[in-house]
Parts: sequence; C-alpha cells; structure tokens
Amino acid sequence: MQQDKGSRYSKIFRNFISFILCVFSCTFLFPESSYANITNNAEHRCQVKITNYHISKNIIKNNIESPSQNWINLSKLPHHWNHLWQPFEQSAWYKITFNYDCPHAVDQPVHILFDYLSLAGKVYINDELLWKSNSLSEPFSRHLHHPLNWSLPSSTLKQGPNNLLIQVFGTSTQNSGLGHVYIDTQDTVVQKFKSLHLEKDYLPTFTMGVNIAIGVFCFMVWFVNRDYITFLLFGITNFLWAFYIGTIFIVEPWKVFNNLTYDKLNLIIFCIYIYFACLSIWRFAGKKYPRIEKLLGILIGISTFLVLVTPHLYQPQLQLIVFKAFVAIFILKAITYPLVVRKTKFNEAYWMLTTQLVFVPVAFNDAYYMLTQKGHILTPYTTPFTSIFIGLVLALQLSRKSNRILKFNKTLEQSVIDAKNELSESLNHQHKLSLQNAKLRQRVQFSHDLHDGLGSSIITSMTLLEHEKLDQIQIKSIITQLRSDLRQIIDLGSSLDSKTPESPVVWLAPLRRRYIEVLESIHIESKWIIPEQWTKIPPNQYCLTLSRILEESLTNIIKHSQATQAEIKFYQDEQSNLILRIQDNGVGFDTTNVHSTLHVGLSSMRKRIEKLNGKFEVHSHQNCTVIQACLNIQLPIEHNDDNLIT
Amino acid sequence: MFKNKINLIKPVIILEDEIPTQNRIKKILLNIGYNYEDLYFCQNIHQAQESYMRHKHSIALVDLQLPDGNGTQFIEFIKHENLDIVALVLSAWNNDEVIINALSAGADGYILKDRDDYEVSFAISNVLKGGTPIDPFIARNILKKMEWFEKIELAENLNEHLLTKREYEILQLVSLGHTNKEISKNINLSRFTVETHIRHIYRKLSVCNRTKAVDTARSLGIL
Repeated sequence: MQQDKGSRYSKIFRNFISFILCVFSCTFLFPESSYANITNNAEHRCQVKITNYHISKNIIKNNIESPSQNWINLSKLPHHWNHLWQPFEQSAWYKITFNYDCPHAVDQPVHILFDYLSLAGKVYINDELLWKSNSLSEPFSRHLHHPLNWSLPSSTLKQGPNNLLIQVFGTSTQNSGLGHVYIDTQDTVVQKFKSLHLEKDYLPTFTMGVNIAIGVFCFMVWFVNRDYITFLLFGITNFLWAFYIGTIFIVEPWKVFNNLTYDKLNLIIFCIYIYFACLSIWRFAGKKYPRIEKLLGILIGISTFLVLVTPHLYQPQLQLIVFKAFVAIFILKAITYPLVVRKTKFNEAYWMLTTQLVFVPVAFNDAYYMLTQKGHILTPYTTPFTSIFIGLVLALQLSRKSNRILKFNKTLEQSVIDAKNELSESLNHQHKLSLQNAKLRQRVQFSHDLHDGLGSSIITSMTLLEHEKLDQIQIKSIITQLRSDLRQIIDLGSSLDSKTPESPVVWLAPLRRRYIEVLESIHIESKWIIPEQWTKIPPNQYCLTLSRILEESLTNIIKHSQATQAEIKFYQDEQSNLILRIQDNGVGFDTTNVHSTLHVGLSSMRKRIEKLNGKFEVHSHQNCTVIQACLNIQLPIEHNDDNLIT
Repeated sequence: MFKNKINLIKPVIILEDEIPTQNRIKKILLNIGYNYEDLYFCQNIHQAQESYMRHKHSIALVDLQLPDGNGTQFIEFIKHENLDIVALVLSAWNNDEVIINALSAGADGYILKDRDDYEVSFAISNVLKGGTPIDPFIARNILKKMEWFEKIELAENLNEHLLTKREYEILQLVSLGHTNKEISKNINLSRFTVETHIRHIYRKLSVCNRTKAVDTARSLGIL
C-alpha cells in the first residue's frame, strides 16, 4: 500500500485538528499509525499479502455471476473506471487476489477494509457472498464516502491464494470504482476503519447537528427581530450546508430520486449554498454588492437550468465545470473578504475574516478530494469549529447590537429627560414672558387710565385754579374729585379684568347700595331704574365715566339739594346711546355761577363727557334739577393727549 | 346728620398711625356723640395691645398699614381676647382682597377712609346701630370664594354646606346692589335677621380661613 497523495499541508492541518479533537473529546481516538504500511510483517503472525488487482466489465446484464475472462490487470487501487470504457459502464467487477499464510493455528480474524465503494456493490470471498448494498438498483446505495469493514474468521480463508470479488455499481457523474483496500490480521486495519468512520460518519453527522442548531438559533433571532436579516441569511446558509453535507454523506438515499437526479440536486444545493454564504458574510460586514449579487444569482439560475436540462451524456463534464466554478467563487469570496471588511468598524467582522481565511485551504483540499476521491476531506474536521465560531461571532454581534440598543435606550431616556426639562424650562420661560407681558399690558392700561382719568382731572383742576379765584371749599372740592378719580383707577386696577360689567345692574350695584342707604338716612327717597341687560355692551371706559358722573351727582344731591326725592335712570336707546339721567326735587342751583362748589364738579363732568364725544346737559330749577349724560358708543373716542403736555 | 337714636359703644380704641387721620376720625366720632374720654388713640400694634389690656375696649377702629405690622394681627388678638368686641377696619386705599382678608381675620366690618366725612360718619353710625357693612363687590367676592370651597369639597369636612340657602340668597341680592332693607322686604325677613345672616357669613369666612385650604388657594392665586 502506498501513502496517499494528499497534499502535505492538509495532513498537518488535519493532525492539528485531530489533536484538538482528542483534547476536547476523548471519545475519538485517532491513531497516527493508520498511515503506516499495514502489510509489514511479523514473524509470529499470520501474513496476508495482496498479490494483484483485476477489473472487468459486467458482461452478462443483470447477472450476478462474475466474468471468467477479460480481466484487466491493475497496478493499484483506488481505481475509477469512468474513462476506462466508452460508453460508460454502469457496473464493473474487481478481483483482488491475496495470499493467506498462517503457519500456526493462531486464532486471528482477517480484517478487510474498503475506504469507499462507489456507489454500491456486492462482495464475495472465495465465491461466497460476504456482503451487498441495501439497494442495488436505482437509486443505488451510496458508499461514495462510506468506509466498509468486515472481519473474517480464519476458517473462511484458504492457505495460499484467495479471491475477493467485488461487483461495483457506479454512475457517470461520480468517480465510479473502488477505494483503498486493506486486508490484514493486524488491528491497524480496525484502527484505520475507526479513523475513517470518524471522518466520514461521526463528524459529518456532528457537523450537520451543529449547523442545524446554529441555523435554528439564527432563525429564532430573525424571527424575534425581523430587522436582523443577517441572521436569516446565516440561518439559511447553515441549513443549506447541513443539507449539502447530508446529501454527500448519506448512504441510503431517498427512493424518490435516481442517482443522477440526486447528484444534480446535490450540486444545485451547493450552488445555492455558495450564494447565501456570500450574501450572509457580506451583510454581516454591513456591505451590499447589488451587481455582484445579481450576477451570482443569474449564474446560479443558469447553472441550475443547465444542470437540469443537459442530457445524461454531458452531465459529468457539466457537473464538473459547475462544481469547479462554484468552488472558485467560494474561494474567491473567502480571499476577497479582507477587502470587504477593510473599513468596517466592529471587531466581529475581523473574527469572521479569520474563519473565511481558514476556509481557503480547506476548500482547496476538499474540492480536490471531491473531484478525485484522493486524500482526506477536511470539512468534517473544520466545520464544527468554524460553525461554532461563526455562531459565536453572530452572538457577539447580537450582544453588541443589544448593548447598543441598551445604550441607545439610556441615551434616549436621558434625552427624554433633557427634552422634558428643556420643555418645562421654556414653558416656564414662556409663562414668565406672558406674565411679564400681562404685567406690562396692565401697566400700560394703568398709565392710560391715569392719563385719561386722573391726568385730565388734574389738568382741568389746574386750569380752574389758574383762571378762577377759588375759595378753600372749592379747592377742597377739586381735591375730593381728584381723590374719587384716583379711587376709581385703583378699584379698576385691582380688579382682575377691566372688562365691562356683565349687566347694568351689576355695574351700578356698588353705587346703588352705597348711596341708597345714605340717601335714606337723610330722608331722600330714591328710585333707581336700571335695565336688567345690556342691549349693546359698551366699552368699560364709558361705564366708568358714567359711574363718576353718578357719584358726583348723588354727592351733590346729598350735600346740597335738600331734596326729598331722587330718580336715577339709565337706559340705552336704539341709536346705541347710553343715557344716564339723574333728577331730584331739591332747591336747584345757578348753573351760571362759576364760583360755586358745584361748578367745579359740573365742569369736570362736562369735560369728561365731551372727551368721549358725548352730550352733557344740566337743567336746574326750583324743585327740579336734571343732569343728563349721553354717550354714543359707536362714535370714536377723541384722544387729545395734548392735555397732559399743556 | 345721622344723630338719631345711636347706642354708643364705649370705650373706643382707634389704631391709626397718622395724626391727621386720627384727628379726622376723632372729629367724626365726637360728631356722632362720643365724648373725648371714650376715645383711645394708638399709633402701633404694641401700644394698642397694652392699651387694650388696660382698658378692655368694646369697639376698635383699626387701620391696616401700621409701623409694626398689619392691623389684622391686632384684630386677631382682640377677637381672641373677647369675641364680642366690635372690630372695624379703617381701610385706606385698599382693595377688596385686603378687606376680605381682614374679615377673615375676624373683623365685623370695614370703613372706607377715602370716602367723604359724611359717608364715613354714616358707616360708623350704621355699625353702632347694629348694621353690618357689606358692599356688592365684597358679596361677589365671598360668593366666589365659597363656591371654590364647595368645589374642593371642604364642605364635606365641615359636615354641611358652607353657606345656607338663605345666606346665598342674601349675598346674591347684595351683589346686585340691593340694600338690607330691600332684601328684608324681598325675602320677608326682618332687617335685623338680614344683618345677622351677614354677620354669620363673615364668621364662616373666618372659619374657612383657619383651614389650610386658604393658603393653598392663595398660592394657586384663586383668592
């Protein structure tokens, strides 16, 4: 037996991986000696030596009998007959002759090991059926990556030459033939089988499990948060890979497909897997390459189409090309990944880069294996690690994202608090401003009132004082007037709203109540005629002026009239006039006497009314004095501010 | 002018810091019928308290703005000493809020200083005759205040409505400018009963004032 031609690096790498595997799991024993030439002799042992290999095509269709002639001598195994005969033969016979030399009656079984048998077959030892595949018709069992092992008791063998006859059923799209064959009594064969079994059975199954688990995890993440498309892509990639591994290493395929369809399916899954693998790692790095992705999609579409429609005859070549092309794409994707993650800011991308770089040699090696059946397949060794690693990297990204969200939430919370504070601050500020505004408006209003009311009274009084010769009583009367004006302004300023009272009754209520009792106490009977409602609401200024006039008039009546009856009447006519009429039956006064105290009050009242463009009339006779003020609320108010300046 | 049948309550304490105003009040009181020896003038709260402890006055005329505090303090003091003392506020340029506060502190009425002598004189003699001064704007203010108390369900704590139906009625009529005489005619009560109702209203105002709610109300700017 010769050492395989598997490339050197793969051996080193495989040893490294197996070392790790041994460390982590003692259940897998991986003997290094499996590569030793198992035909080395030992003095005291039974010796088995393979003398020659032959191959022959199956002459009799559907016949289980071995051909008796046309044996072609082979120098070594493994051997594939795909190109031995044209056209392709579905079935062939291998004959292995070996010498069994066991001088002592040693109780040692003979171990036979095929590292693969492509695809299915039957095994005879000395023309007795030793073993056959489950399915020897389409779809065949697939022992393509499946080591076979038998232990024969020594009694079944003859001393000297023995024949091992193998009928193999193959397919044009796979390497059809027989792999290494080991026949020996030594345990090394058993150990070799164990290592092969680990490589081609346990580990692929394990890999599938890991991939499915990670795939499910990714799907769950995506399912919970639909924004994580990367996880969906990784989930799909993992499932596809698990599926692909499954289709490669499966021994008994589903009965629904024949082998050709099975190989087609296998290849298509591989292509789609490559597509999703590219997409997922690009998205992982936060990159999109619409054109390349589209191109890749189209390529897959074309490949799939071609694989499905190309006739049987050209399938082997086509499948080979497509497979090679997609392996190239896979390797290209891994090699170019440094460029993809070049400007990426997060660390997980670089972790991912590591796995991609690991994929490069593995992909080279495994593609070589898949094409030639030579060497060792590395994927089963690396995939658990890379898958777990990718899972870890994804978990890292997830945790980073959730951390970011957490951080963002904190920031958000803070900014909400800030915004709230800002808002309340600005509201406070606004409130202050509006308060200030209100104050200012009030102040303006107040100064206006001062100007219009007290100001003009002072001007009038000053004019009176300047031009007339007044006695003390008259001066007192002037000052009293000023005081009343001031009182009015203060009352107005202290009330919350300087709006017109809601009705004439409410407006005149304070004066009515204040004077009625005083009038009563000095035996003046008063009659008040006030409407319940406004017919038209007058400005407050008008009401205030009329209030002052009423106040003045009533004070005059109380102090001077000696009347017994008084009538106070207020009404609004159709011409929007406000009319206030105060009548008494007192002694009356001389309206022309400018020196009387009354004159001061009257002239001041007249002035006020005239300022509002109203009419002021005084008629006084014995037993009848009438004071009437008439204001029209539709006429504009005359603002002669010059009064203050003079 | 108003000298008929006045039952003078003696002695009188006048808490007023300005001498001219003191003289004016003195003149008015003498005019009403008081004798000079019935009148005790004080210029600050401290003096007034000492004077009260010595002479136990029956009626007090109290200005609000005083050198050593607010006149309401003195009103609270004398009302605490003797609930039956008649306490009148001598209000100067004060607005209705100030008056309401004084009434809440226990004042029985108020006299507006800035009115003519004849009006001040009338107001004092009115009180001496058993009247209770109340202005429409004060009535309206009290109504508003009571409505607010009702609103915060203070009434529930007091186990009854703050104002009786009658009292509401009277306040409403006052706020529309009706005199006590008119009111008594209107609702078929004696004038004396109407005055009593108003006095009750004032007392309730001071009861309410003792609750913390008022502070809350003030801070809310309602009062």
